[in-house]
Amino acid sequence: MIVHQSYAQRFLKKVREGSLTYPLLLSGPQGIGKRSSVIQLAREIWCEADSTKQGCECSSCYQIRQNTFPDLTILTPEGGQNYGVDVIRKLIGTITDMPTYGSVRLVVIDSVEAMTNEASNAFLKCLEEPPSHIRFLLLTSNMSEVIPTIRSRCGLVPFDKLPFDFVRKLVLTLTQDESTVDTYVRMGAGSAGRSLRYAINNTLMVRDQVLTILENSSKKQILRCFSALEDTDASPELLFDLLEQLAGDLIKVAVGAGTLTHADQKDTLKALAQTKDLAFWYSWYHEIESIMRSNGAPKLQIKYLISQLAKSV
Amino acid sequence: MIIQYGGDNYSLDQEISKIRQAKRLSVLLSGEELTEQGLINIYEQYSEAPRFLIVDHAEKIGSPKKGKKKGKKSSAKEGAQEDEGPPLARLLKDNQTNKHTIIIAVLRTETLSEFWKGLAEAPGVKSEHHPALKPWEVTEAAIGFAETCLKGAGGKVEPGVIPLLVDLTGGDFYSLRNEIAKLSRLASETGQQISKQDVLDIVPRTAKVDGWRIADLAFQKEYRKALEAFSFLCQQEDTGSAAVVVTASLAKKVEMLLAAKSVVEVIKNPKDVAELLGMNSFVYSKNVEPVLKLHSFDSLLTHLKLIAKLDLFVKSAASIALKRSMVETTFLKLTK
Repeated sequence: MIVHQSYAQRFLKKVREGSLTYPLLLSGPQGIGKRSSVIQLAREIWCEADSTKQGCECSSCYQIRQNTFPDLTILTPEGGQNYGVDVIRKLIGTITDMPTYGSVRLVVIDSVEAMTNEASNAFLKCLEEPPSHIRFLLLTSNMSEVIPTIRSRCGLVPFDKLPFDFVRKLVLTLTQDESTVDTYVRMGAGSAGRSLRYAINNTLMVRDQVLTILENSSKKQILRCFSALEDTDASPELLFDLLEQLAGDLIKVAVGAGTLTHADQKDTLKALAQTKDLAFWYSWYHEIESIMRSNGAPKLQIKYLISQLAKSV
Repeated sequence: MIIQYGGDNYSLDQEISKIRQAKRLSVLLSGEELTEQGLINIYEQYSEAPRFLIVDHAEKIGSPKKGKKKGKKSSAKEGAQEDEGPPLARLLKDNQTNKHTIIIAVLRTETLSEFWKGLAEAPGVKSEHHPALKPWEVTEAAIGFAETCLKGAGGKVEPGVIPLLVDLTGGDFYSLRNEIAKLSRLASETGQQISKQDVLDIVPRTAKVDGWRIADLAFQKEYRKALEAFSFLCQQEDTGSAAVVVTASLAKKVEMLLAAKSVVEVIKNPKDVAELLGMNSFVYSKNVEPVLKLHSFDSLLTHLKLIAKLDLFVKSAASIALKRSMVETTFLKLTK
């Protein structure tokens, strides 16, 4: 069942009813339910029993879950790599195949922004004039990186952030520690997937390590910071995420407004925020954001960001 | 010079390369696992090199007892050779070896210590213990070597020529000796001193440059040398890769210096600092301490920022020429 996405639901309902045939671009942060919504749509179209029932065991639902249903094609970038032109050409070669079970075939391309330029160009013609039985559903968590020519050929379906209480209920199924649940929910920023991932990986432990590193850096204890960074098992992506969240919180503390993501560490953040002025935190936040989107050496970039706190005021 | 080196899983190529650069003074090739074909391959690969002499069944040389036993059992011809003197001395004489000859001994015995003992006791053989040179000792040793060679060749040089020679040959003793022979011949023909210009005209740069060396030069504020070395690295590899390699080396160097500087401000004893950095105290006082004096903590922070930006730039879609000039500009900024 698709929950808390009433706007998106209206579009997907039209796809199910066959009244909407043009490609849709589903956008929203990771873990917000784009892919689940598409899977649910497929189940609603092809389920032989009760599509509202979770874990339906009918043959279609089983195949959809296993990603082996013949009329549903879901393309996912392998190992975080881009879609090459050969992948897209292969897809184009199969879209003329007629549906096996009904009158439509769903083609879902996850992370559509990961197409190379050549792949995008090869895909455009097909996207503009798809065969009448094909419904394209493109998913993205980074709208700004989807090329304009693809964007302009699709109906845009933004996904809303999930409500706090809804995500909280989900996280509570994983952890009973009520004191940390709220933090995990805020860290997810409306994305159930992110909050759940943080809770499963016990991310608050890494967060505390990062906070200690930042404190040490502000005390100019660079060797300690670098050693701690080398010792941590956390991925660079997680470290960047945490740095971004903490930088946001430091700005909020410096300004004195807004709900802190890491409210449980308010005192530490307050002490840290006082070591620099507001302008520094703004520029630091901006740098984290721009470096996160770049392809620099992650360790070097993180070390650079952290060591900036050691700068004399 | 008789050389000994033991150890498993090493690449002979690398070891010999290290010997040439005087970074290692001993090679003992264990023949235990060596097939006949393997031995032939080694002969083919190294026997042409004038400084290398490969001896099969080396355990039988220089060991009088074993030699005698073999002599008794072997043919009359071999027996006659046995009378001409100790096998090793004869071998050295026959191959016109000199004090720079390196013997790669292919051993097929487990009694290594006995072999070396026997070798040391062999008449006419002077066995010396030469510990391997540490990387920071190579330049000085090479300068001493070059001075000796020049003295032997009778060449006279202007001041500054020898360091230049060592810089161009990268401390490779073999190249150094050959280049000095060339230069001495020139000097004897012209009857003049060997000048720096002669060296630059005649001696090609054979020293291999790596990113670490360039990063060292940049942080030592040797702008010109860093540029020259970078230019050479661009010839050695393609410019794009050279820029990436140099950036990575600069990054590692600045991280290390920054960490060291943060410690130095609190702990004054160099030995303790070196220990904290997990570094040999001699290496620290020789290579790190002088460089630290050239940079303040804040300037190192600025350098880290500069290098982080350079890292983003060299991995961007910018043109190769632009990347190269960006690296060169960074050297200049580090020097300021």
